[in-house]
Amino acid sequence: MEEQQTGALVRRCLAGDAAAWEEIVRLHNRRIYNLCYRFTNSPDDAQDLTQEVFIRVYKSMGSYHVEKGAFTTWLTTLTRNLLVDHFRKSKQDRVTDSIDAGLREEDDSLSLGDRLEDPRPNPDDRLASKETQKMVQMALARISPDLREAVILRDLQDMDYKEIAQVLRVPEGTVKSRINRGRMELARLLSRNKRQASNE
Amino acid sequence: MNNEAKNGMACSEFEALLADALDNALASNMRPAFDEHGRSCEVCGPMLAEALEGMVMVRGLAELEPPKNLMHNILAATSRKEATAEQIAEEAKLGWMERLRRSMSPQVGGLLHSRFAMSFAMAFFSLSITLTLAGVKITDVKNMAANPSLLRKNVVLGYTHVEARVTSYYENLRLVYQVQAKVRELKKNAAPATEPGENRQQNRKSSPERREKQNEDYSMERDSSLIAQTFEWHEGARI
Repeated sequence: MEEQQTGALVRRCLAGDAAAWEEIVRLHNRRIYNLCYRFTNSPDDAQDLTQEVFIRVYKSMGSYHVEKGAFTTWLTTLTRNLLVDHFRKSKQDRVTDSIDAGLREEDDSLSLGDRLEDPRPNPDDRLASKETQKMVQMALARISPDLREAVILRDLQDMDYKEIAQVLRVPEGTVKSRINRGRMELARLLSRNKRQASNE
Repeated sequence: MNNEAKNGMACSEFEALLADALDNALASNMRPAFDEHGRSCEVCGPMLAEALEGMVMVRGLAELEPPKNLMHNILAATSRKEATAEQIAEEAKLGWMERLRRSMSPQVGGLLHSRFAMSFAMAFFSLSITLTLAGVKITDVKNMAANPSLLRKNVVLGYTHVEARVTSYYENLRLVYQVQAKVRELKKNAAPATEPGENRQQNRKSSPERREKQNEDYSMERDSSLIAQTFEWHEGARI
């Protein structure tokens, strides 16, 4: 249903409907931003890359055909290619950024009004949750890109194995294997970090 | 990890089913064997626990809110590109003259209106023909512009060339007339004397066309002699 809606939007966009393009951006920018952030571990890079993804989508919209596959898969493939290019250029320079920087950036994303009206758990729980999330994000950034992208697409983007195989251009068996290995590496890294934290 | 079957399942098979098992997508008939192998195998048990922990941790990551200006920036960037693309398409439809006119300031661009442009083209065409006939080359003009002292030298040189050409033409023409006059004189002297009576009869017999032809010959003969004399006189005056 959602894909049919997106297909109709793409057709309208190709016909020159600016409102359709705005709708496409509104529907997908959050997902693409999250994908970029989880892969790069940098809000600035994620923002730049998301913008770049949509500029590319806009330019190459004519090459997308509804009958070839889902728009989401096409968009994810395009994003993944851009992320791989970005990874090759940057060589993961930002992986060793401090945790404090990440926490500060996340705090900045909420205005004072939003924080006052925030219906989430109390500050202590939120801090603990943020610490855990930061540790997981840091661990995610440390595993190899092949494993990371497979885990992100499955566990954060909720794509099925067939779609992931299409995006990564590898067999489904390889996708499953990479996801398993990625999850195991994450668990090992997190337990190691917890041990180090408890010893300190 | 070995491929030895434990509880009806090999470790490699367990690993292949691990992702589906964690997604609760394992076939119901496979589930008991899978669980039993996970409990009893010292390699696959921890592997299952680690994979489960990793999955839970990653899925616990909250979805981030994108920056508020992100969508605005995307739309602004793509609309700029759209405007540029439209401008390029529009310019591609225009002729080169129109594109040149648009690239100039309005005051200068107005001069490229068709009637002005034709006048300029005609003026340029006339000037180029005049310069070509006068033997002026563009490279000479460039050199002259670079070094003004060459200007007078080139003008004098050009005048000398033209004068030499006219003099040469004049001398050749004189030679031709002189030779022509001499030939006619020789012909006249070599021709046999004719009786006046025969001549009269011939004149009487001759047609009007013949008479006209003879008149032309006499005229040319007289003119050639006269021109040759004029040249000789002119030559004598010059000497």
